[in-house]
Amino acid sequence: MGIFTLYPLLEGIRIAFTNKHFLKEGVEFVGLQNFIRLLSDEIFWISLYHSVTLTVVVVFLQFLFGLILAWAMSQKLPGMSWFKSIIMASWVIPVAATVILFKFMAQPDIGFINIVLKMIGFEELNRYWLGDPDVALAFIMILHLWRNVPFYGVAFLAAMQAIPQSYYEAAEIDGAGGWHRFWYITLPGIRNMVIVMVTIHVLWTFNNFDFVYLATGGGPVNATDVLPVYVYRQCWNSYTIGYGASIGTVMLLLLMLYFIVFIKISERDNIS
Amino acid sequence: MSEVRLSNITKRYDRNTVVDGINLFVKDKEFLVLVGPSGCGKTTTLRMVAGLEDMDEGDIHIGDRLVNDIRPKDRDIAMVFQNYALYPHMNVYKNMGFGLKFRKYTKAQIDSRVKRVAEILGIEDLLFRKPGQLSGGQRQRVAMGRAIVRKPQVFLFDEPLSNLDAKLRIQMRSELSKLHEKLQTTIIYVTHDQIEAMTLADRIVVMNDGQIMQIGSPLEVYENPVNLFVAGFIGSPPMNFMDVKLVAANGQLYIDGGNFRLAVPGALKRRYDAWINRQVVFGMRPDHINDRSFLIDGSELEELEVVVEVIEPIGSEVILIVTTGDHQITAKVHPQTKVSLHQSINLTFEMNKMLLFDKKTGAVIDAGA
Repeated sequence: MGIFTLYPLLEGIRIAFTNKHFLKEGVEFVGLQNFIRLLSDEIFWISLYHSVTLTVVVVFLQFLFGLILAWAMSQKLPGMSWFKSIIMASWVIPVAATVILFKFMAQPDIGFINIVLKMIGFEELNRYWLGDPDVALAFIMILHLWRNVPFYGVAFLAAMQAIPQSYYEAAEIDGAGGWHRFWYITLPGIRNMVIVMVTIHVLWTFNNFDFVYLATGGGPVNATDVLPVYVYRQCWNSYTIGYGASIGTVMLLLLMLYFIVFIKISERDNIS
Repeated sequence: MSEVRLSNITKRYDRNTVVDGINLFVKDKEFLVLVGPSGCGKTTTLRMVAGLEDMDEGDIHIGDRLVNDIRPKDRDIAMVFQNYALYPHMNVYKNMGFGLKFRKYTKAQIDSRVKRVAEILGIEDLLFRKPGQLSGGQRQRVAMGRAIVRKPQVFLFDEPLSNLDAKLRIQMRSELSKLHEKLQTTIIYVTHDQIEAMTLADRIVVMNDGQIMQIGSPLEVYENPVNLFVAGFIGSPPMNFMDVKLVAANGQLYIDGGNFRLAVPGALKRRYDAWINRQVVFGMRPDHINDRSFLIDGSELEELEVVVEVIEPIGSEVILIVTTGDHQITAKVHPQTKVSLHQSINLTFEMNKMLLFDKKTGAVIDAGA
């Protein structure tokens, strides 16, 4: 545990205070120099902005759509059990395969998305969706949603099914309609699952490297740059590991801050 | 007026008929108990009155309204569930006020009602706790409070005491009785516990296999059961049943058990005349069997020699399980009876309390049967 987690962690933070470079000999301690450089690095701030936006929007939408999906799956409809068994496919497919798939679909003229748009009369929207700085980040968000919403759906469904039927019956007799039963019984009943899912997905999404790197590499022109991808470029394209480590350290601090605040809020709600 | 009328209520699950043509009239302000073994259809019947289950056939009237197609929330009923079904994320106050919230009561009205009911049930100090912080008995009271606050026409209780320990159950039983006195509202109560039924009910409905076996006051179903099922279900320990033959000798009727004969009281001769030389089932409650040394005067007593197999002293009495010939008999005898295992003793039977049942149909043999 210590070797695999603690050592890389501490070593990474230590390097952030050095000027370590893959192509240069000699490593010196440089104090806060890397961090000061961060503050005036425009791309760092753009990447940070994208990371936060991506995480907030994606996790929120995943929660919302996951909830709707879970509610839909809890209805007794023909074919539902078959549907439930195939729905996790999007989460199971390797990320690289997903990206390739969506890259093809995003192609101008011949991509599936543009073909459909043309069919329904929106031919003017035809473009390479991952090459357009205005929509590329949004497209990446869709990739996240496509992959993770079924996971949310299945998790929420499991949590919903653990709620005793008698609560709903008591509420029905008390006069609560469908929406109120959902609000007063279902949502509080799945609260713990929501906390778990949101916590892990904030961490996963903020740290997510593969979708962005494989789809756009951070482009076009930094339009989809996120912190993990920027760190990668600093370390493996520019070979400035020290600087890369400092960005990584900032990411660590941000996530720890989130974690602490989030836990405090959910504990407080639990007690009240 | 809050009477409830069930007319020919039937419920089927696939090929299985769980409630079979039930007809029942619950009087205004009555405490009616549906009692029977698991699977007899009592809970399903209750849920159909609540509107939580659809009926396949039949009509339900609450008051003078036909409620077949009316949703549970509009039937003016309130239900207490076996597991209480308290909303876990709301405190007691909100749990109790929940039903009033959807009926457009003002905050002030909700406040005064909740507080008043909480006082009646002795849970005013618990109003701001959550169900998870309450004991079983407290939760049960909150569940009742949630129902009482609604002031419904009919209360429906689905085995509300089953999850409580024995002592608490006895305490809650008497509280329920007092509550009924105070609230003066019709109650339909489901239980599998016949002692609960006997102590709480104005009338008992004994059910088995989706059908009503007998409806009557506790004393009626105890003293005059209409068939073997009711006779064996009501009463603890259960009634003794022996396969016997009814014979006549010297102008007297006798119960012939193979190795013994018991004389039938003269007063009952006419009732059983038509059944001479036929196989019948002889029923005698353990309470009406005693040890010879504790003879009680007056009743028609017959004696029987038996061998003691099991002795269960329960404090207020001693329960003996004895054998004679092929028959095993349970007797509830005087607490100071001195017996030892495998001893031969003489038991007395209060024959004027005897019952005979048709072996084929299970029906009690009555005058004019």
